[in-house]
Amino acid sequence: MNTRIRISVLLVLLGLFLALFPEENPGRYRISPQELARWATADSMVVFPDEVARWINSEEQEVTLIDVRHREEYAACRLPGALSVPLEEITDPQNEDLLRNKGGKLVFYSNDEEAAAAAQVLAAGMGHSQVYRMSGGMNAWFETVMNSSFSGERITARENALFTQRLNARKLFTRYNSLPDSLKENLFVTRRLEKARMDGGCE
Amino acid sequence: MIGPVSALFQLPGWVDLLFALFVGIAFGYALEQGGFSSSRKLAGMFYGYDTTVLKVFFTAALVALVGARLLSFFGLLDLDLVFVNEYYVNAAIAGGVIMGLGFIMGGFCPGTGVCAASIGKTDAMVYVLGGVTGAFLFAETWPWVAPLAMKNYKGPLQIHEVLGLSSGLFTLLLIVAAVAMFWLAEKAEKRFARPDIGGLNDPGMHPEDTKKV
Amino acid sequence: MKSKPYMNPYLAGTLLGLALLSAMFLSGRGLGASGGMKYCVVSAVGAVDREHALESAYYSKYFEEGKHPLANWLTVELAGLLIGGFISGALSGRLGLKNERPPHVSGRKRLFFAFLGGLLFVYGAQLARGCTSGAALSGMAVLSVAGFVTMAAIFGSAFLFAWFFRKLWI
Repeated sequence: MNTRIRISVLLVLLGLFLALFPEENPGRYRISPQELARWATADSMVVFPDEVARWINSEEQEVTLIDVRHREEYAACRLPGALSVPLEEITDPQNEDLLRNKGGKLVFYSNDEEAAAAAQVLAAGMGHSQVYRMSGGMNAWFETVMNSSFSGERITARENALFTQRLNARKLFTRYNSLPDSLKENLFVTRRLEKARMDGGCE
Repeated sequence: MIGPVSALFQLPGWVDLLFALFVGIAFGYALEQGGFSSSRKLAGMFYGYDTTVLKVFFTAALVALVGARLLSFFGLLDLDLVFVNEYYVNAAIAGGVIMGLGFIMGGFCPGTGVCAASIGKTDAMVYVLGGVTGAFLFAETWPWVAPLAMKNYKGPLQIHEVLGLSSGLFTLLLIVAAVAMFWLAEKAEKRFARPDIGGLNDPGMHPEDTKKV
Repeated sequence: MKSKPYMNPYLAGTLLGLALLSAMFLSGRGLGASGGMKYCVVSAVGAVDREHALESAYYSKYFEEGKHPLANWLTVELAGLLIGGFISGALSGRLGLKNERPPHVSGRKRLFFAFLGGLLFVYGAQLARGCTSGAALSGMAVLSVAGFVTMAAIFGSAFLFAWFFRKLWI
């Protein structure tokens, strides 16, 4: 049948065209409920304030902190070096690159843990696997790091190390948040210079 | 990006319903024009004497598939926003088997049944009545069917993802397969032809009419 | 009026494909037929026995937030199907009351199996969440696994059962 041949030829040609030209596939949010549940409950994807404190102190390059709270809360006070991606904007295409983070670790945090957990699950659904959340959020940060205190007479080396780490993080946090936004970035640079001077490094 | 129009533009609810009406009319028109208002023609697919079902079905699926991919390629349609039906393994298979049985008994599927009913086919009207009863039965037996219906959820899985191919390549393979099937269908029709079933391509002559002749 | 022959199947298929494509482009979804029937049933049950409808886990979700089950894409589309089919039949001279069947099958037998076939088909369609238009056809157009599997199950099963019901058709 002439029609059959004409339509078949047309379809084959168009099919060839489609096969040869790859389609641009923007990140498709698709994940099975089981996988989603696994992400939401996996213990291995949770980090604690002490670890985050360590990363902040040592300016761990591989880790990016993401603050998922509202912009006003982020502006008021935040973890040093954290970037702002409010929860409702996690799936925006413009944040796609940020979330990819060149393969490094992403740590979401919020005031408590719910928003961070939601953000983590959303990001995992979009295909980003290195996504973590800070257990307890800012509340836990304040409790563990900011209000950490030592009581008692003797201290073990390990406890001492932990306490020092928290103290340093606390100082850094206070300094960081007391600076106006424009100078926040510079704080890390300044710190590096100070450290270098203390260590007797070159100018 | 213009499409899907309903999803991308803030239109009042009735506009989407207007689209539904337009689509439905085109759907019904195309079905009837293709001869899907005849149960004997539809059933013929499974006895080899009429492969219209195969030709129309696959042509339609491919035209829509290729059309959608092309629109997406030219940035006119956001495929991520087009509904992809979700895969529930057990329900898809079990439901499909029951539907096959219903098809061979009734000679219609719901769309063609409604279409045939619209031109006056009484067997189609009874089919639709049966269909509505079936829907009612399902609603009433839901508590017992639910476990089967919800088993093994795999999400809106797409074939080319499962096979690890690009959608374009898979589309091409599908087209080639369909063209081969069209060719086979023509052959089958010649082999299993039933000249005694008059009126299949010329509905002016209905089988019941042949009795009077 | 002498009825016209049916349209070339490949052309009809193209027309059908374009209808489906419009659905995807305009409303971001595929076609449906059994779904529309479901909404009619839900609406009828709601009208006749509202209490039962609201109590049942199945029906109640269609009445949430004051929604009306008939003001639904699928129901309106089904209405369009009726209209479109009628127009085509009218333009092609194919209108007329007829109980279509092979000469050796009695009218009552045909109607009995039509009813039973319809019942089974739509029951299965509700289970599989789509019929040939909704799951199979529209599913293929979006390359969904569910679409392919459902289609294979329908066609495979129909071929398997064909021999047993051959007396109905040939």
